[in-house]
Amino acid sequence: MHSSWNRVSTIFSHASTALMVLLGLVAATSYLTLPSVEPGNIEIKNVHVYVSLLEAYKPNEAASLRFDLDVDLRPLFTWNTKQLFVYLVVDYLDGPNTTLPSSSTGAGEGLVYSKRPGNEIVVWDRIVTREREARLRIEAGKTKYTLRAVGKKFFGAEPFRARLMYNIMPWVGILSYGTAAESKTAMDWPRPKSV
Amino acid sequence: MDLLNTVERVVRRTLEGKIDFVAQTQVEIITYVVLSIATVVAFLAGYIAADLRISLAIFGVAVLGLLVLFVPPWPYLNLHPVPWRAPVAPSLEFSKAE
Amino acid sequence: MDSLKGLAKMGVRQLLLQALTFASVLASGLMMWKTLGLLCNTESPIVVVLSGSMEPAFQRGDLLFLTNFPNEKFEVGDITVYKLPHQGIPIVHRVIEAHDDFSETFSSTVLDQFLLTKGDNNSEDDKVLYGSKMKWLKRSNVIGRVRGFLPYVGYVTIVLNDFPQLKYALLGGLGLLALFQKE
Repeated sequence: MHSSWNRVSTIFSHASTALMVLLGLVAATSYLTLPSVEPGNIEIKNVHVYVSLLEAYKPNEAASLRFDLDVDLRPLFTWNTKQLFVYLVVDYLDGPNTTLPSSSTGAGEGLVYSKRPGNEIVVWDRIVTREREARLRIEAGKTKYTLRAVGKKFFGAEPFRARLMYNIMPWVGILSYGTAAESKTAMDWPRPKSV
Repeated sequence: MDLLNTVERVVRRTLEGKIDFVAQTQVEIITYVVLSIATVVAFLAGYIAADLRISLAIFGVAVLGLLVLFVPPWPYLNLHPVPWRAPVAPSLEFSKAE
Repeated sequence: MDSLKGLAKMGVRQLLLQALTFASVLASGLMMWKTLGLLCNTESPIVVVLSGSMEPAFQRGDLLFLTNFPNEKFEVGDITVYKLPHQGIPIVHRVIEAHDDFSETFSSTVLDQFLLTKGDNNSEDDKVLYGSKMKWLKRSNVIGRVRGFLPYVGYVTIVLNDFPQLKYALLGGLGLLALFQKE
């Protein structure tokens, strides 16, 4: 410590170690005391399946739906919560005898598998940065992203479930996920209507 | 050439910022203690107030305080200067020893 | 200058010793990085956020910690860092669609998946980025899943990359400091 420069560098190196310890404590306590949310309500209605011609000569089935949502995410805002990413997931298994695209071209090849492939699609999302915006009550909400059947059909697939999930993005530490609401029963896909 | 040497001496003197040895050990100990306490206090304060900014503010103030109080060669860091002996002409020394 | 003369007096042995110390510091750093990569099962366990496509959560300069264990299936909502085969830059986006792929196995435990990603701050999904040949992202394109986050720390690397003059200025400054030190 015999020169000013020496003292500055010692103080800075000790301080950075101490800062790492502080941030580590914050991250560890946040991870060990993850908040949970009371299960909310979600209801899917108006499922509408149609044939869309996004790519020429390759008709795709697409679907849209409306949802009612009532969920309170305010307990998730801790001192270490930077942002919540909330998203609505539709997940279902393909039906029997489903054709699957090959990985490069996307064209169906008529392959048959004994195990049903699963599909998860996000149809709606929202970023919540403030605690007071964390109470979500939506009626007849529109989906942001269309459900698109990948070279397959919706009708004939297994009934789908909808889940409202959240991702807590911290100021420092580990990202965590959770489910805020689940549809009570699996829902069947309706027949496609021409648009 | 002489100007460069003077510049070099001035820069070196400011960078050195001499303080006495007692103060050096004290500063080292104080740094350890203050930073450890600041870490704990910052964490607890932020946890209780549920605000991360308070933790960082307390920590930042502690580091800044250390830098301001102990890096420049303040007079209170030079309270125990090394007691050098008075310079004596060499010829006198030799004649006395004989 | 006096200090330059002092530097010349150091001798070959001293200089070699300094170089050796420097090299061993670099080597141990590299060892720690590779070990971390092994533990997290990814070539790049820590990445710096380069774009603003995941704002406001991830800003340029933030640090992300990744893992890529083969027995873990990717789910929608996971934030992945992936690299496209025709480009070198890693992209940090969120998975918004995941379909099981039984035609190939990614590893002995988990089957491959068709993945579609999108940045939180982007209005469009990444289909355009994949190009015309690739319709979906596969597990092999993915470097890892984001598990941990540390803000601001990586900004130094971004600044150094964007302004290479700063790199030289930094090295020059360190060199000057070594000159002015009495050791």
